[in-house]
Amino acid sequence: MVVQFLFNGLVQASIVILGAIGINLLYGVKKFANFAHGDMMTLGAYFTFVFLGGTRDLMTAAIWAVFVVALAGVVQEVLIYARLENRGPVAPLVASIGVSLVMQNSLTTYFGPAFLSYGIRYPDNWVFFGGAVSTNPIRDLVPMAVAASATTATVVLLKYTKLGKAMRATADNRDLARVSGVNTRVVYWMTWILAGVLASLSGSVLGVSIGTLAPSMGATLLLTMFAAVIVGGIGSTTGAILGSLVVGLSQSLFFLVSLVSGLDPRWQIAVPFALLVATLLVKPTGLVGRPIGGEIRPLRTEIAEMLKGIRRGLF
Amino acid sequence: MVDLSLVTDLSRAWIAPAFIFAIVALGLNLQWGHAGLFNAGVAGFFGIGAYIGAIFTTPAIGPGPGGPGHLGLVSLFAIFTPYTVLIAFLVGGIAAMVVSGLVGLLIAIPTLRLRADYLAIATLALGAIAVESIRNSDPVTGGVYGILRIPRPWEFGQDVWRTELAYAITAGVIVLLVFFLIQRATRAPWGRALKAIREDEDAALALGKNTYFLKLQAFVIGAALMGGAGALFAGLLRVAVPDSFTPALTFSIWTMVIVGGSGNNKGVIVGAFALTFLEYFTLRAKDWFNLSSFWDIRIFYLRLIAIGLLLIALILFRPAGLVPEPRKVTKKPWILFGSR
Repeated sequence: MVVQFLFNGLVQASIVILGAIGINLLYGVKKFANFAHGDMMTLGAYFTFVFLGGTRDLMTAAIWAVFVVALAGVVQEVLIYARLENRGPVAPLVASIGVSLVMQNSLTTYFGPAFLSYGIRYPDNWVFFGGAVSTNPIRDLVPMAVAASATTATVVLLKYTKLGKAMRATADNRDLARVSGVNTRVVYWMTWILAGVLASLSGSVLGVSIGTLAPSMGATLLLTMFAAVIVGGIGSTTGAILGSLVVGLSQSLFFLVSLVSGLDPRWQIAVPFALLVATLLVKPTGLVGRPIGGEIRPLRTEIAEMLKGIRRGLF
Repeated sequence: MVDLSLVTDLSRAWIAPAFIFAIVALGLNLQWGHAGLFNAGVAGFFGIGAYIGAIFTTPAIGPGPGGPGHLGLVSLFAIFTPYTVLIAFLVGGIAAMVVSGLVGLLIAIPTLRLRADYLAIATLALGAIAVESIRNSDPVTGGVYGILRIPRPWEFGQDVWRTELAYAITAGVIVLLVFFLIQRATRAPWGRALKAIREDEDAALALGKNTYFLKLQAFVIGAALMGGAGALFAGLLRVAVPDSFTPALTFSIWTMVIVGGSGNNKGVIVGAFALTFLEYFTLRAKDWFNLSSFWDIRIFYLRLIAIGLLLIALILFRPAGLVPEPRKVTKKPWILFGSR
């Protein structure tokens, strides 16, 4: 039973991982939190649906969708985010809220608010370990396989290729990278392409895993992805992977606990939030992250400041 | 006999909501415009306030759909008859501000010391969780059915237009009050210190300002204002359901503040009226223009697309808003240095 829940947690985590790595890459290189990332996933899922009408093959359709979402990423960069450089972290964040509203509601306007479906016929579950784990090869194993291979490819790309090196250099210090001859504009484009590819895959896989498409499907996962990014450590790919595993596994463990203790399982949605706040309280840099935006003062100092303020009179 | 249905309609669907959103926008403007604190969970604070207000004013109703969640707290105030609802309304409003402010305090303590986008992520999460918690706490909030038949003070029975107008005026008076208090506070040394923090926190710290505590105050007061406005909103709609408090609400409040010019209290109120008119327009467009049912469903989403495009355009081309915050420059002391 426990093994089954851990396994479900891994499936959950594998969808979150793809989005979280994208958010993290954008955060590292572009230095802002992309609130439209969930909607980029939705875009991928819907374009997979569109191409499915032409190709009749889910895998081909998903690959075509990848191109569209990557292109959407570059277009956003050129039209919006490139003009918001040197404007601090909040201006692009607000712009990404606008992008999110436009994407999500354009999809709703075009496709209507009702659910869509890829129309997959799911085969019977496979049973492992003498009944300990029961799993559906398409619903569960496909997401895991896609996540594992895409994550490995991303890690290899970042670690061993020249492009990955340039991306890491730009994330570290944009000006130094530029001085050393890195074409940071191309690096930005490649980052958007990579984030778009991962988001699109994640969206298609999400559609395969839950079986239905809705215009808000990605936006509802945004909170979980942000929690994964912060728990793991913002700006670190390893962190995004670790954070997604922690968040996914604790969500499914909470489900198990709620079954045993009679707690309402709907509170599962509060788990990422609790993890996020706990991380911010105890270790704001996350499991493996580095501080971003200057040194962070310990909470004790801040609370002492607050009490000092209250003692001296409220205003 | 003059047809007064237009008065009813305008005050119920445009004027009163505009005043209520103006309060929320003033609260957000205090947090963002004056202190530079990003709050992406406005709908959460607003929703908490709406439910607290509703719980205090609504009488208990029998079992059935929406049966749970009507605690009947209003009977506590029965000793004040005939002012029962008014007193419950005031107490509910104050309680909404207190609870919302406390929630704001709890989320602000760990996040205010971090970069602005951590606060954005944490408040976004808070907003989502607040609404989910409301949805899941059936015994108190009525779950998905919500709280129904919320009474409000100043009801005139058959004269619907008088009831609606009275509520709009109430909201308007509260907006004036809040506006003058905030205007006063932000011109006082307290508000100037907040602006100093927004512009350069290290400099303010070096000048001996307790920056963390000042930011905390701005955030908590802003959250309390959002909560109070929520209580007013529950009275306006007469129902409180979880689906009213979506992230789209947060983002349209954001657009109000950015349209009005963040830091500009007057502009923010204008922004609230403009954006609420857009919503009123989309609600009434089907009566005015004879829309087909296809566009009748979709005009709601078109409004959100318009808001998104407006946000992007403003951030790109008019970051200070349509009515930018007036720049205050200290006048040259002409007695010392001669004229001009």
